[in-house]
Amino acid sequence: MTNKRPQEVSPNEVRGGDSGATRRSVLQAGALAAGGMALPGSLAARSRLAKPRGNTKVTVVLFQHGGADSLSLYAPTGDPNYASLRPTIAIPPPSGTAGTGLQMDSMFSMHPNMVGTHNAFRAQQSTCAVVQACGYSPFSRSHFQSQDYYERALAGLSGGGWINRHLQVTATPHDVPVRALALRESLPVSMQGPYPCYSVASTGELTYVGSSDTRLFLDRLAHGTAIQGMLPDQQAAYRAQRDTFSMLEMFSVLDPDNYAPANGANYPMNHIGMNLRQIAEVIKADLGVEFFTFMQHGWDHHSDQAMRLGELAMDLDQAVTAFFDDLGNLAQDVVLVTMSEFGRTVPENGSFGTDHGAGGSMMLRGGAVRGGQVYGAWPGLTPSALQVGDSLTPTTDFRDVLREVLEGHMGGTDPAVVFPGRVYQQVGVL
Amino acid sequence: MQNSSRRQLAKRLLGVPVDPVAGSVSVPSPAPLDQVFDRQLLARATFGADHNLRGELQVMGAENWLEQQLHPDSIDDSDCEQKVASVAAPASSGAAGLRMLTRALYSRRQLAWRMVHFLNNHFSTYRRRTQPISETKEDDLFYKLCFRRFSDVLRMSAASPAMIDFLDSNSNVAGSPNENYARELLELHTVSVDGGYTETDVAELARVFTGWSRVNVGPSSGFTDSYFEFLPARHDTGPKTLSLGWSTPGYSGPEGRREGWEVLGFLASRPRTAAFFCEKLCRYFVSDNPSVPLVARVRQAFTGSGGDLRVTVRSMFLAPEFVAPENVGNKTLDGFEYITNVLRRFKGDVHVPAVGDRVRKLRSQPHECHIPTGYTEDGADWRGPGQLLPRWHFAERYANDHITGTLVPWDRIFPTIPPTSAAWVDGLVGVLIDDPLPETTIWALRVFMDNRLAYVPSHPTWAQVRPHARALLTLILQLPEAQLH
Repeated sequence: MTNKRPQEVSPNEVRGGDSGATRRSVLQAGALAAGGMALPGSLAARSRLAKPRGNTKVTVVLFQHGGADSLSLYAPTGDPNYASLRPTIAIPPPSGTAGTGLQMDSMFSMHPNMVGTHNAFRAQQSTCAVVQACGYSPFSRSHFQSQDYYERALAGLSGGGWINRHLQVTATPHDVPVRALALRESLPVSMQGPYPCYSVASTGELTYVGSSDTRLFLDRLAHGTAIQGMLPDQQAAYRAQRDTFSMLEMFSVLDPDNYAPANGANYPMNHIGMNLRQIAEVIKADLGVEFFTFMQHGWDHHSDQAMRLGELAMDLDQAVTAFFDDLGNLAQDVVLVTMSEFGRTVPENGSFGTDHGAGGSMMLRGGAVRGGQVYGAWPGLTPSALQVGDSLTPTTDFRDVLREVLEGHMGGTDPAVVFPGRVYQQVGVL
Repeated sequence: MQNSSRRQLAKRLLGVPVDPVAGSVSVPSPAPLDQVFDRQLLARATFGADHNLRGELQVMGAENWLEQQLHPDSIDDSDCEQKVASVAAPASSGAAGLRMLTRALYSRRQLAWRMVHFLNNHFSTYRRRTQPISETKEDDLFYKLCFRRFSDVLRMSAASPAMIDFLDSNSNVAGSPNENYARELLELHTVSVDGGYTETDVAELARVFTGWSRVNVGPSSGFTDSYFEFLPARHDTGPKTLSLGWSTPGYSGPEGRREGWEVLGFLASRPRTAAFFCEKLCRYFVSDNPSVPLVARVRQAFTGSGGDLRVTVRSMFLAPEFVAPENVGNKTLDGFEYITNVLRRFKGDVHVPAVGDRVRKLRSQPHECHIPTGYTEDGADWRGPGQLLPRWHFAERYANDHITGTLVPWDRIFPTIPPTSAAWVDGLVGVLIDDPLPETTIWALRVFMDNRLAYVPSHPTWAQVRPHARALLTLILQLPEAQLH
């Protein structure tokens, strides 16, 4: 076996200015490694462009996947047609006994399993609000198409997502590498577009497992290899590696396994609880991340809805309650907003469930949300008021709610770019 | 390959006319083209090109090999099926996923199981809302039908207890229909979301499928069998009409079942279905952005053969676009493929359940996508940091033998300890990556290994070099090029 030092390669073997730069950076990597230095520290020099200012404003988007039944979460128990359209699954009107709705106002009651959220809604100077009968028009009942519409906030199925467009119009030269983070397996449509956004299923995965020299070489190859002339997916594979290293570096301070929530916050040990717990850690680390999004799965209740929805409502309530307990005073910088691709049919189906409908709901909490109110005109549940005879007619466009979050909480946006074609109608939630 | 078939191939590949008199082809160098065809077939028609397969394909000729793969029952696969039987009992929890993984790793009927992998995802069912036995039986039927007609597969899926459980057909009853299956049948399985159907069509179609049910047999702790049953008493016998151009007067009694049967045939024959399905097929096997001529060609084969999947798939692999430069090495592996590709190429010991756990960490385990859309075929969703980090983790664990019962067969790759860093690098890269790596990458890998071996004695033992070999393997498996095929 020979133990030669790396062979110097004649510059003639590498052609083109860019390749020359490539060669140098790879050479550097070799030299550093050969010197036996501990290397991850050297990465820090590269992309630490900006330090976030304190009190970054944050928006957390919780997507309830499957089409959450807004008429069970924030039930119109005061509507005379509600109970008769849902003989087995209606939320009983508030009577103070277990299993009945939690009164919000004369029309609406919160699901009985949402005690913590109801307390926040009823609190003095509440920052917890609900928008009923939101959606868009004309409506799609396809999971895919409607979720896509919510995430793009744009008519038609092309163009990136609304979060990405907002990041583009508010970009500065001092942006931190990751302004938007999805706790998702892949980047959701809302964050897709020209502005670099990132996704990871769990912050616990934001660690390089392996030796420091493999990490160093991989990093240098990702950044130093000339990718001009490669095919599109090959170039994309390199960019993905670079992104991954940016994320590792920016989030290196996190330690989710040992994170201790404050104020006795008690996150449920489930997907939504873990996600909000991880988001709280990132917010407190003050790294400058402005947008988070993740999904709570399982809201597509075509059958046996009462029991299955009850569990999800409890998960949602406990996790969101713990999140705001944990944030304490930081909650003034954080708005959490829920959305779902559609509401469900008003009449129940033959399986004690509901099918895909139209108008749904959004819940907002934190920041300067004007809480304690249900927003949006109530279209009613009479046959003529329903869409296609079976669905809640949307009266508030969800984009107007998002616009108020961006303008009233995130410090402003360019609505013409972020919500093109939308003629704003005030909701007043922020 | 015979000269004549080489000419035919060249003609097909390039669309160049063969001169019948001289018998020569006006192509500069046909030999490299054969290699591209071989390379593409091995990458796309299998779960990873191991050396045996490369040899098999070279001996048989690529076209003959493809033809044999299109007739999977002609291939003896008893060794693999023995492994399948031992890895998980058909009715045990998660059995179907482990059986699929076993076949991906060991079956000689690679193309058929690629088709099953594709069809299983097109007709996605989530195993936690179905029964283990029904997922197992469904996959076996996908295998049986994967080169039959699309309408056969569609009908099998509609009557599959797994689909009936997953999309609530079982609770779709006359008078109070459940639209779940009807909507996904239109949107995801046949004409697609732009297929021109209305909300009324969804409601009518739901009524057609009232009464479609399943029987689960055995103790509720674990059903041992599951089969389709039509319940006339639950069927809506009234007339139904689809604006797409189909209607039925409605039938009562056992005859009621034929409505569903007929509408599935109708939907399978829609031009929109052909367009949607063929494009998706090309996305899975050829490119995230299949070219218009390729999709048109495959669609023509599909339509012209009445939806014969053997004819359809053959036309795709023999299309000139299949070997077009932009389709070579330009497709991101999904998580399942990434892992099977590595393990097939190494042919070391594998403990399938432990590997299944790793596939799950890459969010790519068959039967575990909880939405009816199935896993995405878009490479962009398979290469971001959220996917790359667990892949890098897999690479590190695999290279260090940290996956239970799953070992890197070092002495098979290197019968003797390689004498130079270059030999280490070339040996591993040669096994793992088909296309030439950038020169700078090869060079950097050698530097890496040089550094690693700098303090190793000149005639080392395996114990002395193995940690460094493991580090090099980790690095190679983590490269951008290792995420593509």
